[in-house]
Amino acid sequence: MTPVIHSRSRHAEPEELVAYRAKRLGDDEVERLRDHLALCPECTELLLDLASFEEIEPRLGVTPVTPDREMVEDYAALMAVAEPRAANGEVETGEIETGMTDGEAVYLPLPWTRTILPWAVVALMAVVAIGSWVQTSRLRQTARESGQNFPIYAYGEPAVSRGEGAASQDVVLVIPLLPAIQPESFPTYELEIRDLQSQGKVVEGFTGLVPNNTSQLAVRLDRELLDYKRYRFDLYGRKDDGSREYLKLQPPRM
Amino acid sequence: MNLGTDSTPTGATPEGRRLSRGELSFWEIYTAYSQAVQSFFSKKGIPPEECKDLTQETFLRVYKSMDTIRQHDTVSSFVFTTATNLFRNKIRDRKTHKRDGHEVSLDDTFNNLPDDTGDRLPAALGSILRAEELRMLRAALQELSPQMRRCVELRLYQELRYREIAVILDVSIETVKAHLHHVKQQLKSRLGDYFNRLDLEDRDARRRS
Repeated sequence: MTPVIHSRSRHAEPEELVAYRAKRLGDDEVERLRDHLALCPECTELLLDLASFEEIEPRLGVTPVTPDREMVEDYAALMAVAEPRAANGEVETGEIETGMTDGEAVYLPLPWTRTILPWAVVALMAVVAIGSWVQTSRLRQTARESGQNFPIYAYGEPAVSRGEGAASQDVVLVIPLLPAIQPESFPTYELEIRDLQSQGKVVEGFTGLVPNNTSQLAVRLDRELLDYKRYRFDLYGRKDDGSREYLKLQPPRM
Repeated sequence: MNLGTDSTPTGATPEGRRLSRGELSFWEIYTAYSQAVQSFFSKKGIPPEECKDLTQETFLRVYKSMDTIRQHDTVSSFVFTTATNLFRNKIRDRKTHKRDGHEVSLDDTFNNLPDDTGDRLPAALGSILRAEELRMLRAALQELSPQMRRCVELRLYQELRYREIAVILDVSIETVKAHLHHVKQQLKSRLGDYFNRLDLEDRDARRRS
């Protein structure tokens, strides 16, 4: 059962309700208005309307500008006109289109080929570029860590000959020296052969006098040494004062 | 020029004029509030066609007043005030038309009267009883604090939900519940049987239980 009592005080003005919600009324005015609201369904409904309007306020400026989605039929009709035009390239997608059908506006979302695909291609190119850079950096790092020597892995088959008087199990390895080293600078040389498959461990070392005007160096090696598939030659020149300097080996010009 | 719905004000473009305050355009305001304004008029018993006209009129006024909107606290209060004033003008016009009067046939009027003579006695008795119960309830409510009394009045007379009462009185829902719980205890002892017919519980709360 619902008894009905009507308030006899005057109805609230909309500006008064706005001020009440904004807490701008004085205490007496608030008390009077609340007394009225308690018994006046019309003003109560208005105040609830105002509260529901205020709930929209935070969404202002965030809501995309689109036709009224509640008007589903109107919107579907607009899209039926807009989509074929967009497919034919008559209108730009991703923008608000106006003036198509007597001033209506419609928002056409961009197709995935214009939103996701370009970014995917850019991302893929970036990954490839970064991967390549990382790989190169690792190689350079490996070179730096190998005693500051520039590694020479393979520039063609070393010339191998069986010299006179050489043991049957020995071979003579001819190493090109470019540029040629002079005995005035380095009276003696030291050659180290490192096995790259054993963390660059020195497997053989030679020391000798630098010959005059030579562009190649011949060393006698044990035949087994050739079983190593990858090795590196590090050449040093030693001065009279005992100091040693690394000499960069360069590949022979083909 | 029509802008997509029948209630869009004439002369506006989707780009609209920019509000002098903030970065809102008329079109953004229209998009956000048009449905709320239309249902505002619809809830008040305005026929659908007139609702569209009033909605259009509301936004036309908003459009014309974009430069003065800064005097208002919020866009909501501006739209609300405009719509409410239009609604009240509409009601005033209706009352004026009613006072103009129209001819009615007396024969038709008397012939169409319902024959409810047999039902009048119980109806009158019920009315007296209800009046007595109402008097008792009013007396009991006068002993409550103003805040509690308003809670009960909003719940009993207007059948509002707890959430709506909280909005009207600008208090939390928990406060409303607490007030109504205290009132229940007080009225139970004072009103006895009549109290059992009072419905203080929220519809949502009833549904949950």
